[in-house]
Amino acid sequence: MHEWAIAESIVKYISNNYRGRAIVGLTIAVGRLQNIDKDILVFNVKELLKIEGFREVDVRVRDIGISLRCRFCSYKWSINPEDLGEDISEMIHFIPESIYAYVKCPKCNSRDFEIVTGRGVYIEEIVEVVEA
Amino acid sequence: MIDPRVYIIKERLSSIKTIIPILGFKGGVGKTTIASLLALSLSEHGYRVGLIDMDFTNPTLHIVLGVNIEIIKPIEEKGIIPPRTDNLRLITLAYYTKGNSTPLRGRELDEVFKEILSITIWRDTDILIVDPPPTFTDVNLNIIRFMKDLAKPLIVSNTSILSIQPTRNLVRVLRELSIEPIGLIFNMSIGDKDLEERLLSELRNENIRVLGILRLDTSLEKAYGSISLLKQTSLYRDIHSKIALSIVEYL
Repeated sequence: MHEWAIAESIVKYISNNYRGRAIVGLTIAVGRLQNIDKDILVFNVKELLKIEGFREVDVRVRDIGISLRCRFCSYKWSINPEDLGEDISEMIHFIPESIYAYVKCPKCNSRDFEIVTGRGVYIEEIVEVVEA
Repeated sequence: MIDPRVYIIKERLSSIKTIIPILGFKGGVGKTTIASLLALSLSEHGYRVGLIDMDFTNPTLHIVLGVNIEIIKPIEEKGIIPPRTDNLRLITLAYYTKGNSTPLRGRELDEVFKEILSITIWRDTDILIVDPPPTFTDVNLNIIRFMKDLAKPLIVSNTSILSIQPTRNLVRVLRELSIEPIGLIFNMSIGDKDLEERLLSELRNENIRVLGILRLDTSLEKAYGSISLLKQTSLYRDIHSKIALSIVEYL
């Protein structure tokens, strides 16, 4: 699964920057455009964290809604990737910028629009216990 | 918010021995064709070769190699595994955009670059040939940022005086970053010896290895889309017998 590759990048960051430290919480922000299976992502992140020696981490996911803005006419709208059909939704799942091949501004038909929110997977917060 | 992708890209590329970006600041000099034929040749020389089409808004490597993007797509296995075509592994955005127009601004080009490289698992790949777009913007800057340690760029120029300055600039920019090009190819020559001599003379001071001057091959148009026909072209024979051998010796 592609969620495994995303989990690897998250854990790579943590193992590079927090080795030997007591991480107890991790919040991952997931843009809805990518249609990530959140349960699988959390499971994979926890498994990889254990391998790296981070055993007691509360991993949470925060959904980020999709907001698109046309650069031509400034129209703002949102979409549900599943409404685009299974095939297109899967393309966007792997490479979110595939959206530009399938979606146009509903007002002016321009493909020159901005994904304001809802793209990507980010580390939003890492909580660690710091001894006094 | 931390983007974790940038922390995994170098690890994803770490199994590859050499990355050959096919660079040229001018468009229409034949980079995609050279990338394809060089990949086929290096594969015949026994290397396990991967190809990545980084001309994200206008990918055509799959067209040159006859890869049917309607049927073929990467395998999902803890990431995406580039599908094989005639012993080459190819990744292209076209698997996902299906040939539709895909206009991308700089920010989006940067996102595609990071997304593809952070999820692609390069198995059985000794050499990765990168086919970037012309111009020194987001994608080529990212190639240098993320591939610098493994990159041995091959510079492609056409045989035009308009290519002298861009080629000179490219060589200098790479060397400022301590990246030594593997060599320079003059492509699409129409056999004007005076012009060829002028180009060689103008770039002599750059002290770059000229791997060859390749003749314009009009048979290519009928060969695109068929690997067996591509291998019958005079351009392929020149690349296989001269350019690839020089590169193999260099590696």
